[in-house]
Amino acid sequence: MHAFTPKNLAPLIIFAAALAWCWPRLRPVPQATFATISPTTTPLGEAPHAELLPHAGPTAHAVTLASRADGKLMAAWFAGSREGASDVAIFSSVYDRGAWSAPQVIVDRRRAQHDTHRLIRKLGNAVLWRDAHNVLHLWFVSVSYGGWSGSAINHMQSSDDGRHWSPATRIVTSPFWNLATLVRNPPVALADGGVALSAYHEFLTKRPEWLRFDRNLRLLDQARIPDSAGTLQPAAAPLDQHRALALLRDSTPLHRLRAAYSNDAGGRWQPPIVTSIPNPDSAIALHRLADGTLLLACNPLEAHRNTLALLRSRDEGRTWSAPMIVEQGAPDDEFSYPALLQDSTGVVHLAYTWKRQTIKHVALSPAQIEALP
Amino acid sequence: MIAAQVLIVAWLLNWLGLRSRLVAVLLALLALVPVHGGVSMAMALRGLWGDPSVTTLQLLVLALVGKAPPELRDGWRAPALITLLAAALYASALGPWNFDLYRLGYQPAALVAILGAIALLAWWRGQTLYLWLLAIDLLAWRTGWLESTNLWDALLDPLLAFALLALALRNAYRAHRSRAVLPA
Repeated sequence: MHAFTPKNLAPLIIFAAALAWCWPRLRPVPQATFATISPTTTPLGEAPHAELLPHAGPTAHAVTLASRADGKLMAAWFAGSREGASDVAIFSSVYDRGAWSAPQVIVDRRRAQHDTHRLIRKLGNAVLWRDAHNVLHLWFVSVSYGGWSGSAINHMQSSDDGRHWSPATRIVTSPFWNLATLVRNPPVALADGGVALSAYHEFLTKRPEWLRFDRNLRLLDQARIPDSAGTLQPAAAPLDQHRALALLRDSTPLHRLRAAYSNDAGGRWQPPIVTSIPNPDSAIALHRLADGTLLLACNPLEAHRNTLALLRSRDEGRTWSAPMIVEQGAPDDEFSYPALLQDSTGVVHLAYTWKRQTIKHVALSPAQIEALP
Repeated sequence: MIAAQVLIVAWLLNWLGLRSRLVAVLLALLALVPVHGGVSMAMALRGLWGDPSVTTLQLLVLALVGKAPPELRDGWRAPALITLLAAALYASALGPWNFDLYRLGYQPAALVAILGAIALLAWWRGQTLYLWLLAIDLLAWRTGWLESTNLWDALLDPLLAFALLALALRNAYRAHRSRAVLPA
């Protein structure tokens, strides 16, 4: 046993003092609730119509949509010589009076490298989102070494509708060299001012992750969907203040979307159930419409990404309508990685990868959406 | 925390045979100099393994001033125990299982209770250095200056785990060999 001398007591006292100082951060955080769900406040454009966005590079992929505080629709996606190339950057474009602006670089590899003080070899998926204080957030994937399973998530934000962006910061989500967390789908606002971001893991095994941040974007918690190995890119929608549905892309030979529910705003999830909707290991988009129904954009096939369709659920994702085909092409065409947004007039904006060449925007009128059974 | 990579490089230089620790640190400072496309060696290393844990930083400093804890430097039980803990953490974090030890590090009351027990045991055994190490880990985590908000990342990292695994194997082999040559 140690003698009770001042010299020997000092480390014990320091340790006890450290414990006392840490106490506020040790207690469990209150259970999350979702913020009141409201559509975007302004009309974002006329419908129906469709157009291709201006080319930002030889290839383009993985678009994400957000409404700006000034009422304009903003898209962001990655483009460059090819997916995974070092010249790939995250571009944005703004839809104004029926036309998309020339793409502007939000962040490229060199800026991400400079901001995060580490080597970065390539950029990938981005997620754009506007919070209740009209701050635009951009989460994006970067890789320093290896393939996408070496990914990590970064975050930037803009308080002036995307004209200027804060330096990128790194989010640590894994204890093993922070390997393999990616994002694809937009987050959900929490009532406490925080945000829940659906992410996914790709190193050794694929599975969804649910990241909860506080109002200062400090990562508070990280939840798994049980028994979900082999699925990825969760697309989540709140059903009310407490319940949420996440639809999961399927990388298994089953080729069927999975559906997982949470009753405590993502703190715990039920094991996913297999839906009847085919999925060719391809990204999806899920959006809760103003009337409370759910809209899903996906490739409803077991193979190929040459057909993009919309489906609607009026019973919180338990059953889905027949697909309404938005675009269909030859087997080697690709119409994939959709993003969805609804404005205050009920117009639904759908954007997606068009043949890997550029991004396409389709605006659907409320009548077209209502036609979905 | 880019400067943390300098400590790793200095320790590597020392380990590779550069006797003077001061020279090793001074040489390691060159790792901050951009060499290609604005990327320094420190940035390349940080891209590879991120920031080391606060425990690793403290042990690197202790090693560079010649005060590495003898239980870790020469023993095999403590390195083996920490390596096993790290292996469990990484297996649960990366595997397909539903339980994730890493999640315990966000609101880490349970984890800190275990650390408190370890600290008391170390104090009881007169190994007060471990109390200092753990206290500094906790203080660094609480300041919020670290890139990670998870306490596990202040306590452990894969580099430390690999280094301790190597030490455990080396020291266990040495202990076994010294027992074998003892006269009956």
